[in-house]
Amino acid sequence: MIPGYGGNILRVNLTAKSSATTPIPESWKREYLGGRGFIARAFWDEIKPGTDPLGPDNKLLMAPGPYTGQFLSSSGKLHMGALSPATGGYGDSNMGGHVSFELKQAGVDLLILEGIADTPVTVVIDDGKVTYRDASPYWEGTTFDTERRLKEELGEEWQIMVIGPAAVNGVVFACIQHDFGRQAGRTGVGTVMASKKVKAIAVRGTKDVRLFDAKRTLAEGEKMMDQVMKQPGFTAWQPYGTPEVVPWASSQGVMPTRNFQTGVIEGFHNLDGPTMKAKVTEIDKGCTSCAIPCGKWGKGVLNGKEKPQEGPEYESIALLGSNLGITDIQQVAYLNGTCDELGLDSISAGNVVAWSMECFEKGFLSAADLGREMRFGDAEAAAAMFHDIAYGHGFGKILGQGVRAAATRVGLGTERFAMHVKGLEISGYEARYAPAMMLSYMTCDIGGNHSRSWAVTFDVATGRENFEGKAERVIWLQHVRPLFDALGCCRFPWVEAGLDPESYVAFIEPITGMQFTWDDMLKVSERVWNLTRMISYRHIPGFGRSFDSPPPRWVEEGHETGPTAGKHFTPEQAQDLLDRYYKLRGWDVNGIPKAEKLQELGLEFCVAALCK
Amino acid sequence: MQVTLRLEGHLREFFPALNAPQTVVLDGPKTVAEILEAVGMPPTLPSSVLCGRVRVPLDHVPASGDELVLLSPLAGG
Repeated sequence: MIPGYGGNILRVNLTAKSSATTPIPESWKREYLGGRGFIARAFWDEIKPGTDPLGPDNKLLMAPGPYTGQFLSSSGKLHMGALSPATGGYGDSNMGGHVSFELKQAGVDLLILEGIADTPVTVVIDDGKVTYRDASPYWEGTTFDTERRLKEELGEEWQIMVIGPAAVNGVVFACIQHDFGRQAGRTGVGTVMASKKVKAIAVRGTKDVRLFDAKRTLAEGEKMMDQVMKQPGFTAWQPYGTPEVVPWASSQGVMPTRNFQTGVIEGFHNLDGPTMKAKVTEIDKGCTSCAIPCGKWGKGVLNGKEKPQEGPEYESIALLGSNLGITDIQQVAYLNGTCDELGLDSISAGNVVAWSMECFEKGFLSAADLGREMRFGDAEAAAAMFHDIAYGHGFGKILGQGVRAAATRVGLGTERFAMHVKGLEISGYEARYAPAMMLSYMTCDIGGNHSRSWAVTFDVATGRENFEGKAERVIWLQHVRPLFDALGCCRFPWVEAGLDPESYVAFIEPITGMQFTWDDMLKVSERVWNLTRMISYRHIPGFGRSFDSPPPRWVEEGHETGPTAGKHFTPEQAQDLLDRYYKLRGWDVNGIPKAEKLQELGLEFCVAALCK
Repeated sequence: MQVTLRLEGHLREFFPALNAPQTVVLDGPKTVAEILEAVGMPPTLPSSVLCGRVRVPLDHVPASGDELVLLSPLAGG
């Protein structure tokens, strides 16, 4: 058996209250590595076309990776996936914290939750043995209260994942939270967990994970920790975390502001890292084996009310700050804490509320429609709307179905400023005059997310008007960045501290005994990328090129102010980007992988689906 | 006079010629922005510039022998 893994698939059937353990296939380790790779591979086998995202046949999948918890810096990531209730296609997300290694030490490389429990439960996984606790008394509880309660009942050594009221009430962008502030936020994985009547998952693992060469793993890990902590980027970045980038983003016109109407926020210094450190942060907080703890625990404040919370990190600052026209970091932190306790994805929540503010200010929706006046800059109104969304009150119930659904329902042309791709709300980068970043969003497998390819620096470095090399760069990033999600570790030592990503190859043999080159690893990522594309093709009727379109705003309007004022690409230019991308990918003009590409990648089992 | 440039993160990928710390010879005092332009880098590309481990603005004029560390902008998780 290939070492470095927990060893098993743990299948939990909530309808039958049964569980079964089977070995993880050895071939999966070689072909998919783990984490995101296992999620995608299992998704294909387990979730059939026609499945209702909120029905018993959808499955919630969770997977650590071979690097999880294994001495190298920042190796605490847990990946999870499901058929997304937000997009109807392949959905996944990941979180840091400590539960990933706990799951691996419980002997689990892939957790499959299927069926629906008859009453609310907490699933308890103790070294792989599954029991259930009645969660009815705290089914409606907030995330923080639920995690605290279970820690008190079970013990501090347990690692807990929870959902909040947003998931319970069917908001399609509800997240799963862990460690009082770490979220798997995107694509509604929390909503799927709620649909199965699972309020929480508690994990304890005490088993050893056998390594191929523990001594070498430790030596490589020590070397990496030392390298990370000596990087100038480490000492400059770590005190502030991701808010460090706020001034740069605004100066480049890429900080989403007032529902992506512009990319420059006046008063951006009130949202930057030093301001947050001075006004919000009380203590740093990190994940398993992390040398660069980027989590910042502190308090948000809104009109004298305080709210403890972790963060906000850059994405939340962008979506809950500038995109709502708010430039008070304490208020942004308060809104972030509000989203966290309710179990809302702060990216999607900020996006849909910004859309409602633009609808109000432009007269498409009234205060009577929305339950209150919704003006940019009004943090009280935003906080109240987050509660309405999470509890399904008034217009909040409509917003809770996502910006695509809300705009379709309201109509009146508001669809043109509904900022999403494939139904997933766009995250923290205004990309209308940044072709590689725009293409990153257009082609991201889960929808409008930055995590697969963050290419805006490449646009600035190589010319924002220039298309040459942009598709190549996006594809390279779409292979490198998700590779970390398959390995079960965080990208930040590369992206932030400046480590060479190829240095991660050094761990694969000492941990698993498998021989991989850097190119071999990238081939795994390409395999997974094509597989997730095929999953959405199989599940979404008519899926193809039209799903890769940017929101109309990005190809119809320029900014009024900032370094890219008046500039945007045309719809034809966006299609030109797609042509270049599909050709390089070996996909047809509709953006579907060709049979020979699937065969080249060892995805023969997908070929039959091309004839659907 | 001369200064040393040290690139971090993605900047190394974009400017492979500057992958290892490079000494740049100047014909006199220059601002950080002027030095970056001289090596072909848009001055607004780095998210921060450190001189002696302290952040400095683009109009800062380094002394001869200083090392400038250029930090790449970062992405959220």
